[in-house]
Amino acid sequence: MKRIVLSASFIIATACFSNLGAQCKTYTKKECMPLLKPYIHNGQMNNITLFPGEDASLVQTFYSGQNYRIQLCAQENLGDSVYFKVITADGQLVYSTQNDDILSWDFNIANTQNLKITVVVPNLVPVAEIEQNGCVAILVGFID
Amino acid sequence: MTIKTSILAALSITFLFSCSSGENNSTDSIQKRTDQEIAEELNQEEQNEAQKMFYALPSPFEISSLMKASGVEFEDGILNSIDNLSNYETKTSKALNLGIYGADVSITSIYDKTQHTMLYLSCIKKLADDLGISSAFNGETMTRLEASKERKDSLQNIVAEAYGMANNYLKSNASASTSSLILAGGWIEGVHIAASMVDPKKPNDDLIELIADQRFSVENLISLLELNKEEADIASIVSDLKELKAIYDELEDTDGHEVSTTTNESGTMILGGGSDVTLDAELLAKITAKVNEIRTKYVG
Repeated sequence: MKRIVLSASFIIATACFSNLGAQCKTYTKKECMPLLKPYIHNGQMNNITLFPGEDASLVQTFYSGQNYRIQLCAQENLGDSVYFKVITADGQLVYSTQNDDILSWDFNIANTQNLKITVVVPNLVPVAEIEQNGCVAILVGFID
Repeated sequence: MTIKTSILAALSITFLFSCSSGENNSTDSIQKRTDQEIAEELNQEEQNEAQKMFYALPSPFEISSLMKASGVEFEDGILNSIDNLSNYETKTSKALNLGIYGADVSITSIYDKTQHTMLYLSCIKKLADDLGISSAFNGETMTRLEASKERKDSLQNIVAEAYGMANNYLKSNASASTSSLILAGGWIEGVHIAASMVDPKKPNDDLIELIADQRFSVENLISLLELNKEEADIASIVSDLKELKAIYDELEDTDGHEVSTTTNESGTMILGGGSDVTLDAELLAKITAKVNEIRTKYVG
């Protein structure tokens, strides 16, 4: 599976898909950010356009004692099987929304650590159909 | 690490198979080739990973929120003076100090210093104009801030939202090096503010922990900057940060925790894992001194 890693900058992705990137930004702001409430958005607008079969990852530090919400949003044309998983620095899977209707995770961190959040767009589309890309956004909110 | 582990496991299985096959010459040959192939694969995987891997830094707004939660107060004097604004003439100094003023505005807004917030936002707007990224800080934001002066929650939310929108704009419209410089400036100012708020006579444990926790971010920031390390200004900042990281590397893990998930009484899942570190006064002083040295170089 082709792997693309989301970044704080998303420089390459946004340079290649400027128009799609603009749509993706709008989608993230209008459709995804409201879902973070009552958590405060941490300011990182992590969004990218993906095709089925692709995944994208983001590495971020989460601070001890903080309450966090990770919110995934994916445009409808990507289907309803898009999910995210959370992996520790040493590769242990700690959470996944695969086969789950809820695309967010509210949690508290006992000890500060780096976590990798990977968004997966499964390739479930029949081969005969034309692949359609779509916007996925992964937002992180925090609350005291 | 997972790839490494898998490959090591594959190597072990191959080795066991070769031992039991009894065909020493041929299996040795296969073994050598396999080892080489696996090593090459590992190397390629690591290179690919290095090329693709990017990191996100916590926003100054989040750091500021943690500082306030620790219960400490801050004095205006630790922030970058707005009088320094006219000193920033190069693209690098403008970008770095855009990040620095960004961290300053985060903390003034969190601490409900509305007047300071407005002043620092003006500095940010001026630097953004100079860098040609003024759309990141639009007039609507300033108007909303003016209107929210008496509503503290609103002020924080608008600044947080403005940071998010500006960040998004920068991703799309600024050069990679400019974005990196802004992030670096914001992070170093955040650590400077936190370190300046420590009272040596009565150290706040939460604040000390926050400073110790920046060991993760300094590593992430270096990784992010190294994507553009061919640029001299970036290389210089990477060098500064590596000196700081070397000090952070002196932190010793005192207790590693098993990764676990539990649920507390209110139903919130708690993620365990990671490790505890102890940041003693001596090492804190070294971190503070290095951060101040780097920050002074950037602020001028």
